[in-house]
Amino acid sequence: MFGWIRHKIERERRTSYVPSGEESGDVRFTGNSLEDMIGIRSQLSGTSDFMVREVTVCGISVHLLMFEGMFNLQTMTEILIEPLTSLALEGPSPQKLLQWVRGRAVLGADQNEVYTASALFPFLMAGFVGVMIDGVEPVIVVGIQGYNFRSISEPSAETNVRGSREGFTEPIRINMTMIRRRIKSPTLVMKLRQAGGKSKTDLCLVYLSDMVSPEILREVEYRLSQVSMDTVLESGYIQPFLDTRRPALFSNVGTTERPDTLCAKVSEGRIGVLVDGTPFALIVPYFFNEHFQSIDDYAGRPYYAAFNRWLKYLAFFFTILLPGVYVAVGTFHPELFPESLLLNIAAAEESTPFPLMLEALIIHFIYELMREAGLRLPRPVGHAVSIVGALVIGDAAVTAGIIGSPMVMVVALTAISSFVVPSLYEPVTVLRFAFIVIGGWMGLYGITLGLALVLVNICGINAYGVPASSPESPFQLFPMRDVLIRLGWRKLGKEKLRVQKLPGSEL
Amino acid sequence: MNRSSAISGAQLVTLLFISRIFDFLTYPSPGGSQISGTAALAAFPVGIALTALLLLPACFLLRENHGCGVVDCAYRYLGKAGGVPVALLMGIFALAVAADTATGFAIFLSAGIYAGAPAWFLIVTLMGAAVYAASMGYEPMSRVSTLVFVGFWAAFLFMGIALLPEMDPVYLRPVVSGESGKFWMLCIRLALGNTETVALLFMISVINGKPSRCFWYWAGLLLAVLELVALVSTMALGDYGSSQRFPFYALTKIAEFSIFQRLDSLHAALWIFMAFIKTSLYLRIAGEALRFLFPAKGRGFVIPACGAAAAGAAIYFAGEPRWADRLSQTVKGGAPVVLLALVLPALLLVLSRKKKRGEPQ
Repeated sequence: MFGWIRHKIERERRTSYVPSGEESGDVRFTGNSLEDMIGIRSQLSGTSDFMVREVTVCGISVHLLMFEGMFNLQTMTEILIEPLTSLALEGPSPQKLLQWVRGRAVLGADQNEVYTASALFPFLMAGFVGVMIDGVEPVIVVGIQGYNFRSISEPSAETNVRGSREGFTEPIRINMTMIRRRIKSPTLVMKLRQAGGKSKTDLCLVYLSDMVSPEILREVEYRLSQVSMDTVLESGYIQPFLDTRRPALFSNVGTTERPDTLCAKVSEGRIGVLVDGTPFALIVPYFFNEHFQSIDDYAGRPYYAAFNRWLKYLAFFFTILLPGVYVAVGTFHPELFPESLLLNIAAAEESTPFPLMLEALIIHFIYELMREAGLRLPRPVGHAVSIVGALVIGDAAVTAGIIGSPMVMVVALTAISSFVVPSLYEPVTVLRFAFIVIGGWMGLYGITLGLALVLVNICGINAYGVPASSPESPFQLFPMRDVLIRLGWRKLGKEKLRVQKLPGSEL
Repeated sequence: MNRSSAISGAQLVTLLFISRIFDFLTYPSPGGSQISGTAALAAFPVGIALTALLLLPACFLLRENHGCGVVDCAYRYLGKAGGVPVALLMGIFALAVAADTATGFAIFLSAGIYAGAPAWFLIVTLMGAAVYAASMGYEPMSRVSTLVFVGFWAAFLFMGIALLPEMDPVYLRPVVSGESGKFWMLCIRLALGNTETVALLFMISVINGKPSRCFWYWAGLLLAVLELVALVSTMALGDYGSSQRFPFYALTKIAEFSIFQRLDSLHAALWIFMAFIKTSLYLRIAGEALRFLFPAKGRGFVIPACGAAAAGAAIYFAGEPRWADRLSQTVKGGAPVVLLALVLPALLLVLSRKKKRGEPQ
């Protein structure tokens, strides 16, 4: 029956989604600029930001095609209009002008020839200027982009104490230069491709050809070719295509805003995927233990990095288990609390009307509401929400007898712990609620069983032939040098780690 | 990208170790014999040696049929007419072990730790989780078992330290002469009640490594841990241990560590993990053995169906303690292990040799 339902859904999806190719037929330019311009304008449906400037060069009509705000006017004047208008050809003809542009003029560093409108549009929409010479077929496109974009700044989601302050920005080309500046090796490959039927978003695969596994590379390219969407606006759109196909709580695709992090991952044989229009790059394959690593670990002293790692693992378990375990122990196994603590908890809970599980659910729900509100609201208002929330939860709710004060402590500790590993925030939040319900319903038995299921789920991720739980399980000592502890650079830098060589790898 | 579902030898060792050690930690003293701790210490190595002897025919058979499990060999030498009953037998045996594990565990939990908890609820939840893990395959199970293995050692160390003040070597009394009968009975029970030998023979085809080496590592590890557990129990519990239904649980109850007070919950959590792994392992084996009963399209339902059958059986047996004992005695009594790990491989070995002799040189 499930097969029949799946078949129906698949058929429905196939009929409802029609991948859009080109908006109209792909017609070759004729060489008659008036006729070609009519065709181009009709395909662009009279959009207002399309600009055409006609100049005459040695008596030949030349159309300059561009989109408003996408090019740099000063550069265009200096390297395009000025040389063209001051040109004096002997016996001018469109062919001669084309030859001059092709062979003798350097209009821009990035110069191409296109023969169809469908090939022309992506260039124009990326900030190129098209040079259409009346009487010749090809249109020359010149890269003189000059659109505004956010400048390179410190990444907001991955701040660090030491090291580079540079974070990725939105234009993909800028991000590519940030990587190239850090790895000056001929083996660093950046392969551009597009995704999105309409958006034609640029993607860039970044890898080291002497480190990457060909199988992983082939798989990533195949999966990207399966992206069947009209619009790709963020790396999150293509992340599911690169992720494991099994229902998994934790992703097998990492994200980073930092070029140095991406370079470090790439140098271990991973593949980075940059997406135009977003500062978040994707990294595949990504292992569970990598959520607990940060770039600061490698800048500081090894023992402090190891301490930090343990702290993060502890925080992870705290944030998913603490409220659930508190509810389970308080409800089913109070004998496990030390006597004095048990008396305090009993005194606090005596005056509250709700069972522990409901109390925990209510307070965590309020906390999540406040967090979400504080995140989306303008900053000054967000602060106000935080203050009101802190007062409501921290004081008023306890004074009103809605919740016990130990529960406030549990929520505070859980909330702080959840921010220690920010990349795991989403699964951790859902798991926390799940464990509260399980703990209140089934006690420690349920918590243990739930944890076993979470572990199986993590250990079951194998998206690129390398287990996400590697190298902890299957275990190998060598890669563990940078998992629970971090060895010093003298040892760490001696031998390279390659992801495809990790234990359990099927590559 | 080609994927194999093979697991490494080390993973198999931890998987089988966790599965086997679970029995020793949750059930009444091995074999239920009222034997002194010192005699039990001596019985473990003999039991392991007997297990090795038991597996000799299988060892020769599998050496001649590299990469094949016992069921594969049955198909090879007995044809479909012989292979199908062997697979069916293996599947039923694995289901029985899964049901027995769930039954025993539910009884242990509701009697020892969660007094009054309904057994059916414990069984259904355990079996539901095990079905999920079994559907994921051997790999995730074995990876989780590695983590549990580390947890086991940490907990054991923790408990050992906590029990240090309670231990008294005076309880290590010499074996009395009248115990020899019980001693040999225990040795035989240790060997014949070892259902993991059957699991090992079934899983040969999914191991990346030498099966014989896996066996020796597993046996060595098991022996070391059993000796340690028996030593600690004997020295810490003394005569009190022999009067306890669950001696190891009694041990955890008396272990108090600073502010942590009782350690029984920590160990209960570990046992739940172990029960989960053992049940998942046998459900997976049952699912693989009984695949032929289902049409190709319905094979996704084999493991859930096995889980439902095992859960149903376990709920029934948990409500009937007399029948639960009978199930346990049947599974661990020796007959299934002798049949599947000794008689069947020996028969297949004879057939294999005969076939070889018949082949032109």
